[in-house]
Amino acid sequence: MDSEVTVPVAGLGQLLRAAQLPVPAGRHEMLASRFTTLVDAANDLNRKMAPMRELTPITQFAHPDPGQGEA
Amino acid sequence: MARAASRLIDLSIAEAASMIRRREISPVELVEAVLDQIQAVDSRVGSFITVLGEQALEVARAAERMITAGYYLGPLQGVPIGLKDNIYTQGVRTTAGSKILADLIPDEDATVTARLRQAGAIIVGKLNMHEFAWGGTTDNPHYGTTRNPWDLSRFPAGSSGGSGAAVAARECLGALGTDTGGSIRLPAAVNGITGIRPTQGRVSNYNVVPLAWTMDTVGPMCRTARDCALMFQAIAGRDPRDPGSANVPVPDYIAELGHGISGERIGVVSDYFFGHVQPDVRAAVRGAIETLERAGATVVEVAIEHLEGNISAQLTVESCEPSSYHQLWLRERPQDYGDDVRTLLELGELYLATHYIQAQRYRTLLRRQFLDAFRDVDIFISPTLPFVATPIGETKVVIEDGREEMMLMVIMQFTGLPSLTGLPAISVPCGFSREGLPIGMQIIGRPFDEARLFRVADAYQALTDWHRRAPDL
Repeated sequence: MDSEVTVPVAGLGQLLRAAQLPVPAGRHEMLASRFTTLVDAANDLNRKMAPMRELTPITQFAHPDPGQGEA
Repeated sequence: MARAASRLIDLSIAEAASMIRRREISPVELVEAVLDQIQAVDSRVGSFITVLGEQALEVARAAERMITAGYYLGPLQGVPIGLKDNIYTQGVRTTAGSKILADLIPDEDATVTARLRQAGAIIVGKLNMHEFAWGGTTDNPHYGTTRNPWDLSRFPAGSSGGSGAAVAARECLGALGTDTGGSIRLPAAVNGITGIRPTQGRVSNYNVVPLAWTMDTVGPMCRTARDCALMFQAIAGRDPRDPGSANVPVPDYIAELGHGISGERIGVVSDYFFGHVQPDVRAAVRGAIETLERAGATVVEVAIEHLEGNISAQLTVESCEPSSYHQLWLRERPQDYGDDVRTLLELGELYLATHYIQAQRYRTLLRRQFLDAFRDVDIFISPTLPFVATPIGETKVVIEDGREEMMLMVIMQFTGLPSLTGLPAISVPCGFSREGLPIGMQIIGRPFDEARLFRVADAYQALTDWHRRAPDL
């Protein structure tokens, strides 16, 4: 994983298409710049977490499970 | 019942409850005083989206008749409170600060609304907020900008900025806010009031418009810790309609107050908690810790690794979960969002699944470290946020060395820790900056140990008067 990523405007457009999210082209440059900052930080976290294989994600569990009624 | 209306609005909930019970004041007088204050100041502060004047007075008259007839429901009976506008109110518009939900009139209360009504509280209105709670300024493009009562050119933070400003401006005696990444504690701090984010699962989220399901909470915002405890007593506890609600017994929070703080062990992570904060904030929070030490608490230096990852983890979770909730509206009605929220929702669609899952795994790491540390300490104390209220419209902030930083990247530096770990945390006023702006400290507790947070905060407020100061409006 690279330490820094710059999200190009064209690349952002491709991501938006993959997400089937229509966003006017005039917004792409701003989004690319903002996403570059966010994805850099997220990639930093990826690098930190990837070796810690024993950790499971925090998730939300139903209390009680459906159909169980109130505890 | 001769107390001047101008004084009634300065009563705490505990004081008002005591006077109502002794029939020294009536709920009608109290509600009238609050409505007069809303009339007098809200055109400048902008706390309310909806004011329920006539309805509130009608309920107050009924409360008065009940009390006269000997039916006393408890300390919230006849007390005027406000609700953030993402909390459902039956028959009353609930917008979540959005154009998208501008016409939503729920046919059912949120559980927290119903519980407050059952306790006798009187809802005087619905409070402004950052659109859909996704932001920290309460600069709302649809319902106006809420302003900080201590300096109307400054922001009240958010997303529960209307709740924070209304309580500080004496437009209600208490309010409910919601907190995902800090949305109760941040406005509590910059408006000079007290606000608690509960343990995840302690308070029902049923019929509250979500932001990020795995971090959303509801909690009280009042002028004192005791008042927060009174409201919390009414809303805490199991709700079978909320799948995230925990089945954990609710203690008597008021009975726990007044037991002092001798022997309490305060954990601090000095490098992180005090390394990157404005000097006035550092001095105020350090001073508060010294006050607690003089009252018998001890300070324990704690090492917790990887704290700096909390901002990215929080932004990732808080980006991806809202973007999934808003996915349909974002495609069908993008123009109906404010530009800042629309941008954040678009960005939330672009993360990789691995980013989101690593962020959730980071939460496990962080929670584990905090729970380990709680073997040696009873609470942690940090600043609530690293800076004081910024000018309205500002997106950058200077914390130190004249260097500008994106506010979004630093505002949740400390509030993110309880949000990610599911731990309870209370923000308590602990001083003012040189410009006269309020500063808050954050006290973090063990899971479901809100009673201790109330007790420590109440003990601190017995030793200080920061929470008694009022803005000059």
